[in-house]
Amino acid sequence: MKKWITVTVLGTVMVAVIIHFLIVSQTPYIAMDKAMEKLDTEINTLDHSGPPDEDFREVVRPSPDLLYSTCIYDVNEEALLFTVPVTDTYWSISGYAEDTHNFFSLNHEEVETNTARVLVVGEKEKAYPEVEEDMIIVEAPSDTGIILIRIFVSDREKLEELKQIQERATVETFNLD
Amino acid sequence: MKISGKFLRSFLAAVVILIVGGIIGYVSAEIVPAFIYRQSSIRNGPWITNPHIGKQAADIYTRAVIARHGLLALDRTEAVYYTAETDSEGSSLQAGHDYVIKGEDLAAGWWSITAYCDDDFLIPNEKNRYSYTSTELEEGEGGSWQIRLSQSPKEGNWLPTGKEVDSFSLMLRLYKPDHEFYENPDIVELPRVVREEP
Repeated sequence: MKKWITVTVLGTVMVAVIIHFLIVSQTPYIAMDKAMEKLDTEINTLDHSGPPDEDFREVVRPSPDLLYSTCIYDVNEEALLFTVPVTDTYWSISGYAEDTHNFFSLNHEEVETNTARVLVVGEKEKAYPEVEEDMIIVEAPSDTGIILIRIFVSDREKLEELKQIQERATVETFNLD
Repeated sequence: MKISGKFLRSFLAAVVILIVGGIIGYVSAEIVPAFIYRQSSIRNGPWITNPHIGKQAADIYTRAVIARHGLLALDRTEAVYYTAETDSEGSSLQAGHDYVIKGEDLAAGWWSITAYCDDDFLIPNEKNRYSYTSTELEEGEGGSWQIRLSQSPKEGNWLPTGKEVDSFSLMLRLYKPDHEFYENPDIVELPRVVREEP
């Protein structure tokens, strides 16, 4: 009888530990998948949205002071070129890998031109030919993830003007061959 | 078909192991990350921040909590995030009470204070006011400022806490922050959250 109890207790602990680490380690990936599903945009396209309000439910803790442009990227087969106008007010473009970590960010003070050209390449692209001088190359640590462009609405009266600038941002596939 | 006692005991043990182990694993995966996240976080008055937000080096528990409550956060050199679930006295923030957030200008490119419901989304309110930013606050003498948190309208910088909410939390975001905010987040001067007596 004692042996049965010991086996049952040890087995329970083992299952508990396995389930525990499985859930905890997979939570970021699940959260990212859910966010991508809720964003409901086509892969490798940019979705522009206005400052979030109380009806916004796609991503937790949104900032109501930012315009967001979101791209669910997949650079498994081709690189992506983001061409984004830079605003005078705070602006940034950032990348999030499938495990949620923020693998790059670039803000308006770090870009010297009026338009940022950011080339996101996949893990496989270890060598790429010379690209144009003003292009900023970013190596994504995972083939899928999210690219997020933020524009600070510093003055509500400038909202429409900023939205027009936001909508000029584009993304296209880029052939590295 | 006769089932032997030994087989029955083995079967029952396997069922107990899977069900009880599964429940313990699931419940602990809900509780432990929040506990460990708090242990690795830095407290400054009512404000809490975590130096691992946005980083690949973050442990699995920290990353799990951030994925649930702060997905798509920036690395701390780009933005520092502080959350407050209590006032400066340590009591949880209740929408039935009025509060004043008092502070001075903060050294960052820009900053904002936003109120959130328990579900981590913005608080519904008639004014459609969810936050105040450093560029739109009405300031007092010497750059000091106050934001009044209340369900009912207030003069000046009024941030509604909504009529359908019991408790709420605050988030202080600093974009392009001075290095003090991420190098010494525990001692840098942050706004106070003071509950007002009725």
